[in-house]
Amino acid sequence: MNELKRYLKSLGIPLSESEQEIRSQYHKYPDQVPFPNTMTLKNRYGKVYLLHETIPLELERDIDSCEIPIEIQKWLKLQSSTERLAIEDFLFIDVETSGEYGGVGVICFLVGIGRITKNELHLFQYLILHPEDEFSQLAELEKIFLSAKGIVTYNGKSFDLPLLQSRFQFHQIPLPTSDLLHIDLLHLSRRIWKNHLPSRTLRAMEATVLGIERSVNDIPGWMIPSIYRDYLLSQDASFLIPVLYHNKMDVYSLARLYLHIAGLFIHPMECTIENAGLIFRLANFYQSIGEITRAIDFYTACLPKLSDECHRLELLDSLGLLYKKQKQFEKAEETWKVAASLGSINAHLELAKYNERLKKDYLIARLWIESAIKLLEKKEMDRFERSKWKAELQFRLESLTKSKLP
Amino acid sequence: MLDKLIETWLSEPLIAENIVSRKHFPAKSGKMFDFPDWLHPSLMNALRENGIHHLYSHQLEALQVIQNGSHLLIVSGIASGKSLTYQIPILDSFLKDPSTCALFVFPTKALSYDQGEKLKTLVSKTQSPFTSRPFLVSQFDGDTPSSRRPRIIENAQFILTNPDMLHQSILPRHSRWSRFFNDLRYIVLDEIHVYRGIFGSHVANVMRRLKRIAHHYGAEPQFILTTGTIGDPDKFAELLVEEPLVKIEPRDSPTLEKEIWIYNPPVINPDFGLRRHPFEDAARLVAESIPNGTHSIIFCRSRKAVELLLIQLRERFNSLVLDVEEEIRSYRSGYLPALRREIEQTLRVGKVKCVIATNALELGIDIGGLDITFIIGFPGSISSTWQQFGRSGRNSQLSLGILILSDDPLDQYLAHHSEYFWESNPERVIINPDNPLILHAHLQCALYEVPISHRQLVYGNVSTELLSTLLDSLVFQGNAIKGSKHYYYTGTNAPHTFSIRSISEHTVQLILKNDEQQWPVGTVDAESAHWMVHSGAIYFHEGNPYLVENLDLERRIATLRTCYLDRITQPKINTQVVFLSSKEHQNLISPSGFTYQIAYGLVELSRQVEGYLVLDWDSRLVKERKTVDLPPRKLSTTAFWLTLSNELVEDLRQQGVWTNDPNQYGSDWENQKRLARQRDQYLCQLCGVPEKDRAHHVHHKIPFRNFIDPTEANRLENLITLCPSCHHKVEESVRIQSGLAALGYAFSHISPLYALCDRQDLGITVDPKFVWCENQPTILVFEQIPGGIGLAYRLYEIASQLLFTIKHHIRACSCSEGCPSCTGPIAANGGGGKREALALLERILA
Repeated sequence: MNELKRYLKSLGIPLSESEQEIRSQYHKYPDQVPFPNTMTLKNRYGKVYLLHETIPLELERDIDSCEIPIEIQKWLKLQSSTERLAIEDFLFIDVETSGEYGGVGVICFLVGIGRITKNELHLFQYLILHPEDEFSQLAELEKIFLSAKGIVTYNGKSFDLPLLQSRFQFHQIPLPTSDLLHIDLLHLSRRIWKNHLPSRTLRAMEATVLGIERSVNDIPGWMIPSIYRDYLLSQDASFLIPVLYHNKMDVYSLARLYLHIAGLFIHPMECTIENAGLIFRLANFYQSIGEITRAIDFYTACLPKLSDECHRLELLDSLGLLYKKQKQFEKAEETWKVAASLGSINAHLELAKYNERLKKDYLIARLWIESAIKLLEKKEMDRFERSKWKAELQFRLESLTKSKLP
Repeated sequence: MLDKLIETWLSEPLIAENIVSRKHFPAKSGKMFDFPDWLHPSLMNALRENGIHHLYSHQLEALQVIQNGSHLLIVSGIASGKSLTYQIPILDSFLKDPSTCALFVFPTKALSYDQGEKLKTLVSKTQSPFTSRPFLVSQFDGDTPSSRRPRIIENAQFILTNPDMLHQSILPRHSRWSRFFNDLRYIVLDEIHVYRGIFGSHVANVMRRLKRIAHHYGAEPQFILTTGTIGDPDKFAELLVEEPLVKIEPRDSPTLEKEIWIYNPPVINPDFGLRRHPFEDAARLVAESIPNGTHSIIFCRSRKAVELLLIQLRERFNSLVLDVEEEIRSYRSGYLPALRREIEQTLRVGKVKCVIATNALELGIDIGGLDITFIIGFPGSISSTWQQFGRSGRNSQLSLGILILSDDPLDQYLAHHSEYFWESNPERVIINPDNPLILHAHLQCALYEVPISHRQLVYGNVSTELLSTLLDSLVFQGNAIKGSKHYYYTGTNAPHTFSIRSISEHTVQLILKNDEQQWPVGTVDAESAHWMVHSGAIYFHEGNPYLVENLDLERRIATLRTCYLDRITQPKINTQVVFLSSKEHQNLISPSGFTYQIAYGLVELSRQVEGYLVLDWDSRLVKERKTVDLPPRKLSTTAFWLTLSNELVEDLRQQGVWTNDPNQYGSDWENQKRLARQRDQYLCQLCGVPEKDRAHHVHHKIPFRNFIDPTEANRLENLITLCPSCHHKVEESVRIQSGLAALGYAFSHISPLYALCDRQDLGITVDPKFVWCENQPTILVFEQIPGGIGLAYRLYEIASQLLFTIKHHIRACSCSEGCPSCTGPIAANGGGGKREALALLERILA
């Protein structure tokens, strides 16, 4: 061992004893690739392994159209265009990375891409067995992205997409993803299921909502970077088998979850007949994307089924607001009155405003305010909220007394 | 008005006689040049609007150097318009090519904020459609809210940041910044003299990584560096960025007229040689300067000193200024950023008459025009002192700098040898970018950022042998693989999580609690929290006292309450070596037959705040002693040590050149001590405090060591009763340095030159009876970085060369008993250990 090595070793830098050992660590491709249905794509930058599989999709119910439901289009804030938006033009994407951290040293060694046609999922997995092949992988992906109109992911807005983009930027390839529409099912699921599922990870969603079970071959996602490292250091590609399975299942779940949600929108009553809570949240969702009539229908449909007092109040408040927006004041008043009788301060206030502004019945208006103030004293709520209501009620009362009443 | 004041002071004997040395630096007017006609017209307009109608020669020269495509080093003089020197060429280039991007790196966030605001102002005045782009000039550091970051990354073209942010955020995520790197034309490194020692070695590696990334995107940015006063700036700068640099010294720029005094407070107790506290003199001088309409800055050495002086000055000036709270302020680290910005702002507009600061204001933050700089106590380095003096001076007016010395031996040395201050060159900055452990850490980051090609094995100027060995080590560890073309990073963890500063970045939040509310008042670094904000401590913030109720180390929160100004606390800190284990050692025999040992190994030092004294505010007498329950702070690191043998010590002892033995005070000592205390009525003869639960000390007026016969030394006439704190003060001025301590001092001075680090990176302990080495005299040099980075091993390897150099150095020094540049300053009435240190080295080496 030479002088330099001895010095480095005494500083605690680990060094191999033999030159041989280092040289043998030259990274080679594995002799065998133990995956079925694998094609090797070679371009002038290197090689990519492409695994292809067609998986039948057992549809929960008949979705006769592959058009993306108007609700999702509205949620994406698309201007109503004449162009037909079909799910066939969307890519279901899930990537597996070499590190947990989102820095520039992390590569997407495996990119799973699914496409739905009729009731089949075509899965394409782009795998590179050496970081040196990344450019060729991106070149293949670029072609596919340019052929698509949009992508569907689960948490892809904060994870998969920025990561892929950073890889394109690293290699200074113009971003092929910038014009793509992006349906991030995590965000959509949050809107629909809100706090009604114990967890909103894809794994939890597929188990509770879709009833999918994974085989023992699966591994938790956090293990993947170290598995890839194990593969790189050992060059034994069989390490990657569970990763490929995991990725396949992720893409499969993604497709199933999309179809489930699309089904909810296409046949809402049918899917949700037994689940008042879900109807309620769908109504919420319609309200948020501006589908007022639909939202009113759904609220009214689930009103008799709701058992939870809190939700009933929330519902009545929302419903009242929607009627008011549609200028159906009588229906609104009716709704507020029910809500007020259940103790909604908001409904009291709305009734006061309604009486003051439209009916010009200031005395009644004042009665509603006064009753709200009494109610507020009895009601349990946090300090901040109480003081907010108190200020608002007090202000209304004063302005009423000053200008409108003797 | 300042010249009148100076005249008054010089004619006033009570002041003038304390000035041990003074120098006058005359004003020099610089040559002015018109803007070159090729300068962009919008820029000329903007400059004129800012009141700038001409360029100084160095500014013109800088423009030309940049135009020629060379890298530039600007060595700053006083008031040379340094920032403009680099702002003008960059803005000119931006206005001509609006895609131009530039990176500005500052050593501190405060400085980057200050410079950012100035740059924004200048940019906004250029009236160009390009300069109204949003986020064009942006600070990007740890304080940047994450909601703003994406828009900055997308839009900014002038980024102001610090090396830490480059290391931990920008470089490892460079693909997000691809737009910026593609068009990166300039990299400005401001105030590079801060990048010293280990920190500087890290920064040099951050620069290597930055250059690789720029290269990856096809950019070849030009470097523009600026430095404060240091020795050999160009050598250091070239080591830092590994590029040939054109050096520009603002020779022809105007120099302001300046007067510098070295001021030694008078002896107020001739019996004991005690001097007046420098605060007293500072307060008196400030009191006379404020009514004259002058503005001043006072530099103190510690955060606590800043607060205590602030209280003293505010009390004293209550009647002198309109609003003491507004006009006399303090500035130091630990104040919240918003407060610091507010103080900087009030300084700039001239509202503040006097600011008391730590070296936090030493760097170039714009604090407006000041007339006088007071420095209380020598800051430890010549370059720092000049840097601090440079903070006063404005618009071609006279300014004054006064170094007020403390009773510290180094300060007193300067009082008697002021030529040492005037004639010494400013310290050089030492870095070692090729330190294997630092390199090993950054190489992983570099690999993570852009794979390293093994056909073109390049990383900075690192030799191919060292580089390939380190890369092979990474492969061996499994953190890299070697492909057919490149090395790739394969670690599963991000490699850039380590800190490039040796001080801990953790801070303790200080929360002020009232009955109802609580709010943050400031921060303390984790290292200092133990002694500054232990529970029961009195903590000062902007001159207000707070009682620390609780220090929660886990949550890193100290809870404070307001309290009365009736006491002050003093921590008791116990520092010791708690573990030592040698990894390698050599038993050596000198040519003259004496044995000694050199060793290298692991050491653990423990520093524990065990308790504190509560002192009365007015009298400063001890009211209470309290204990606190705080865990020790441990530093596990590597060390080099030299241990002497018994026969060597015995020989020195016989030759009378060994003063480390404890004094044998003689058989009558206990009796004489009692008699002395009785005679002095158990009162401290200096401050008058009576004995309480412990006996006072008895002090030898003429040091014991000066006598051969103990009974002679112990005569009652030579004894006097002193309380412990007065005794400590008195001893300070008569301390006799031992040869071992003198050698230790020389070690701490010379070792950094061989370990290629800063003096702050190494610590030293000298123990005549070191328990970890069989009670043998030992000098232990340890690294201040947890785990060490090989500095100690380097010293061990070249130990004999190091000892030779030290001997030569001490011998060649022309002083007689010792001085700051060899074996250390000597106490005013004490003795130096130079002769003993030389005797010791001679026995080891010859």
